[in-house]
Amino acid sequence: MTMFSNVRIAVITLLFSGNAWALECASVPNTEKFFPPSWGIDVANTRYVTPENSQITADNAHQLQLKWAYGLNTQAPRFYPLVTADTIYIGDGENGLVALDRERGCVRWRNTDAAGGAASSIVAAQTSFGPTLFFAHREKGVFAIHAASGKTLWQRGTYSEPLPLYSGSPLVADGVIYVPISSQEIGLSMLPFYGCCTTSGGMAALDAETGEQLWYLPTIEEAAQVTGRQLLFVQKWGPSGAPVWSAPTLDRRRGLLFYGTGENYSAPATATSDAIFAIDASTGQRRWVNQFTANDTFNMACVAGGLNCPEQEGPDLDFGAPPLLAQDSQGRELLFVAQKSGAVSALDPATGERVWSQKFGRGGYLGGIHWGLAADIQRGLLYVPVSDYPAGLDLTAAPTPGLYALSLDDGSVQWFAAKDFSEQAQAKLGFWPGLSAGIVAADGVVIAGDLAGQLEAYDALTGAVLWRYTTAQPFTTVNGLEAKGGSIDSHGPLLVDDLLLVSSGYSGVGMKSGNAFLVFQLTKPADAAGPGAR
Amino acid sequence: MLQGREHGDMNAAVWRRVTAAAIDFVIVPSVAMIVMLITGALENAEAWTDGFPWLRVVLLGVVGYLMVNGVLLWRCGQTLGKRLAKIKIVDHESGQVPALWKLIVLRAPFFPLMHATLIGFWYLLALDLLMGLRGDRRCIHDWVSGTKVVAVAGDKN
Repeated sequence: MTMFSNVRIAVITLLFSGNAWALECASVPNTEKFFPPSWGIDVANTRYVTPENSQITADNAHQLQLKWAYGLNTQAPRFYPLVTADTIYIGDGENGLVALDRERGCVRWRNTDAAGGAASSIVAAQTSFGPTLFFAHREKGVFAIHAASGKTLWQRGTYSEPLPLYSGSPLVADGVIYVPISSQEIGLSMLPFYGCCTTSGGMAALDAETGEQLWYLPTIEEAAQVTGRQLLFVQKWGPSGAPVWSAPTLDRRRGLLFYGTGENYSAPATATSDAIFAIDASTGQRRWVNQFTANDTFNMACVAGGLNCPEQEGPDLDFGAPPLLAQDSQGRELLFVAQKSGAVSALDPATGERVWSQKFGRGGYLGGIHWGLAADIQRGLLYVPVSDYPAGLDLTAAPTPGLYALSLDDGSVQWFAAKDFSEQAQAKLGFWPGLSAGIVAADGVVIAGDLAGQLEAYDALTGAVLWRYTTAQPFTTVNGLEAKGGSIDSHGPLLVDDLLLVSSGYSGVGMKSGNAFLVFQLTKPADAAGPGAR
Repeated sequence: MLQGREHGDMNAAVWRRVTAAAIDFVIVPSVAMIVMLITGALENAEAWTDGFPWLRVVLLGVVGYLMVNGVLLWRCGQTLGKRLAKIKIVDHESGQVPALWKLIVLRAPFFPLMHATLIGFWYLLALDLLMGLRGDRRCIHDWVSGTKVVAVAGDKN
């Protein structure tokens, strides 16, 4: 081989490997401090980031600029990131769980054991292994990953249900992982030869050290019975369903765990669907259940036109937004719950009795209120994002998509930032601009992303839009993968230090697909500590 | 001159093979589905535990295939589609009905390739069929099982 050939091979090798080199920065993440501690920022699910954890305010939100973009290996990202002083942990589709360098977006490590399904918030806790990451894979259950090395420590699910679907974000507190349990029967119901349905949703508690199941509470305790036949031979079953697919809320003072349920998959309906549960956080015993919509039987066959759609098709009005525990202006603790119907209610956390209730928007099976609220106790405000995406049994009422700010005391509207959903606006945006994703609040500012891909910062006291960024566009990414944004849905944005993080694109339920993970940063440091300081 | 093209030993016309394949493509899964409905093999949650129940689907396919074609293959070297299209499988060397085990163990496993096209694996079938464009019209599954497909005696291509 001539010297020329050797040089040519070396140049070609460099050219083709250079991109990969730029992607990788294999190194051990700093794991001293993690943020956020849970899906809801705190165990009460307020989704409020205190000034010590976010420097982004109403005064400087307009200084946010895109720092870098990462091309995800999925068109329906459904993770909520976890941040340390130098690392951002994300779920990257078929690439599994990935630890990215916070400054450059290069990859510190990958864990492909969870390929395809890291679909929840990623949280951390100290275990005997050291700092440990926890998240849910939709089919495989909960993963425990060593935060520094990326090695899988264990992977466990519940053995109490035959077809669990881990759609909700686990909550880790006091050595226990509370795992919301939905069911794969929601999808299997589309098969006409499947005998729908026998399984129940529920809440499982796992030991954070080992993954051992401590207890499990189904949302339906009675066993399913045969209720009829279809296609001559296929037996229909019920009751079933009442899945749990949102993060639970912990009330440490009362020792209670709160969570919402979804619809029944098949008849007969139960008194536990579309309901709020309060259970003993240490034993899993029921304390109270408050049902908001009765006789709601629905499954995916109703959308696909299958035989398994119940005869009395219900409106599918789940509680997808986690309950939110906060104090009103009198210091009284209330549990705020919001449903796909558009109803927002304040409950007595001790008894489940309604203190006040309001309804906003039209509602529908994609919300209404879909993924989550936020609250600012100092300002006495509850922030309610309304989607009103046109999907549901009754679409005759007028939709009112937008962001509402309600008084925590009585639910009265303090301001409403309406979304322009006119035909012209939709033509310009390319999609329905409803607020489906979870939102996040900080000092004087509320961040929300819409289904058309607009990311906006609202003034917490007036609802004025302080900053807007169109994420439904192509991005040049740090990992070289072609990326474009789409609908902002599911868990929504996160604020930490001087950063704003968000995934754009969500093909999951027919929304605008996309695979962009975006990191924004204040262009000027908010204080003397400088950007990224923790 | 036309070696192997006399009546009873004539390579089957392509259109007859396509017709036979199309009939089998529809009939075998249909029978398998009836078996599935009667037995409830994919009807309950236990069947779907740990993901897609591949083993049950494969077993249903085998049962459906044997119910439709088992006796015909054993006695005549024909599937139902081939019988209706008036063609049959013979041993490449002897021209006789092949041993049943060859038809079931070596040849039948290629049958699901047609259905695999529905889930994106079209190139596997294409690879198999491309071999059949040669003069002797023997596809890979013919070679593997040492067989060929000929017109039934007395029927003209």
